[in-house]
Amino acid sequence: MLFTNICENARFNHKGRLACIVAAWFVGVVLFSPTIARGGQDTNVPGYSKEYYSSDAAATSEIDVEALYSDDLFSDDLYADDDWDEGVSDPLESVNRAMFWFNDKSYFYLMKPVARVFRVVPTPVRTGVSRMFDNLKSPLRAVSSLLQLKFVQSGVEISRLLINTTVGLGGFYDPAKNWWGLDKQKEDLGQVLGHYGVGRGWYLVLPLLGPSSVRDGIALLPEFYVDPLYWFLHRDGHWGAIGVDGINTISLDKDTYESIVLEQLDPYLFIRDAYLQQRAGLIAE
Amino acid sequence: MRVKAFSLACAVVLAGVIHGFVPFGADAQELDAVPRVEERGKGAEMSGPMFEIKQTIDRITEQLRTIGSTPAWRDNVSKLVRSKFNFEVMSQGVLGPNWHKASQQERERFVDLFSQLLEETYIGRVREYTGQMIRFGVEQIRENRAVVDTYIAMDTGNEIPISYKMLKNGAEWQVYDVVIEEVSLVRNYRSSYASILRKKNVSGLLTEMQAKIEELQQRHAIEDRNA
Repeated sequence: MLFTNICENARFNHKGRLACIVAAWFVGVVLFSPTIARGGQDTNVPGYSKEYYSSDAAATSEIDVEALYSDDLFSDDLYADDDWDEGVSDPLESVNRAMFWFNDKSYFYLMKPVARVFRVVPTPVRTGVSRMFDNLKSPLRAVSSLLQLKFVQSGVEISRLLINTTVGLGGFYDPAKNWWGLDKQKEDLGQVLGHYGVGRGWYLVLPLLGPSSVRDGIALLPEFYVDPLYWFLHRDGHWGAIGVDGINTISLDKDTYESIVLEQLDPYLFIRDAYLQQRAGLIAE
Repeated sequence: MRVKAFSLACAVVLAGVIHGFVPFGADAQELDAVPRVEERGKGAEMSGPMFEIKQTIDRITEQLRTIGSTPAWRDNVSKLVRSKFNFEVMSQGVLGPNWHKASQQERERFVDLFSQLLEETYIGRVREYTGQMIRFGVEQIRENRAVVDTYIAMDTGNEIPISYKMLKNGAEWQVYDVVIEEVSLVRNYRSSYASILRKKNVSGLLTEMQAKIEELQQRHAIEDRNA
């Protein structure tokens, strides 16, 4: 945490440090947003042109195949804003692939064996623990919704936090969803930036954390401080908690990563494109 | 201390105000992304896209229960998958611009290999997820196209939304895309295959696919023996 170190040396108190980080974050985002925005909109790949496509598609097939796969469920448009589709901006591919390799090895030789040990604990307990960690991310989701002026979603998250922390025994159960029908709102600060038009920038593979992008990576920094666990456990304890949460999640997973590695011709590409598609979908919501 | 108590009180009041926006009960349906409509089997019509998805999933689950006792289970599942997925439309979607560059022979070969690959993948996934709760959401139909929403309950306590996009082929509804948590399967394959095709030609891709299918088939054969 470079910023924290700088701030610590400057002898800021705790609040000052936080303010410093938040300020640095905003300055950084504003400064870099033109660059970031440019990165994600690179459709001018040779051999790809919408005109070529639309005229030909109709000629060869009775069904307009392109229309079937556009964003709008029943769209007639060809390739409605498919900017991620062919022009994925990944100039760091070689570095990313190296990191992907590192993560792959860490997964199989470090995290998975530990996760197997976790499986000694009965599934309902691990599910509950997973929900408890998730409950602590409610403030982040509420703030992210609020920053996008999604007041209802923000209210849902605050209600979920209040209900699940009390009635749901610290988030171990999810009565907000089961009894009141309040579903989790998938919002984070990366989506806030996306909502206000910051492009995703280059695709990044972060060590241990996995797929990300310049924009979502920048958003991770303040997210770290919004997490209540940071305030209770401080830095080292917080990292520990993140680790436990991650491994617990892996222990509950049905080997999704293994299947992707087994089934796909190039797992790196498949995960990259799935990640970018999912982020685009979440931001568009 | 007083400042702390005051800010806490403010936070609670604010939460209450925002909370006022949230309608509980029936209206809550509209604001979540997940509409809770009908349970599995309840109020379902006996025809239409959702019915066909339900029926196919039930039949596949039934076949999977007989693993070990019926040696033909894989052929039966294969038949079910092939009747419900429109692999030709999917292949065109996956190849995108490259579909028009490929020769007729390459196209046919691609459809054949892609359907095998997807079938192996699909069977592997369905096997892992048997016993998981499937909840059916809404079914939207417009002319010859339909979207059926389903939700699978995960052990993490989350629900994964899976939508089947369907196309009416004659009298039958066939799946042409599966959207899992915002990620369209066909678009996903399309962008990763497009990246592969930037380095290789179509026949190189076909060779890679063939090798992958053989690898998966061998692996599944071992799994079947252990089952």
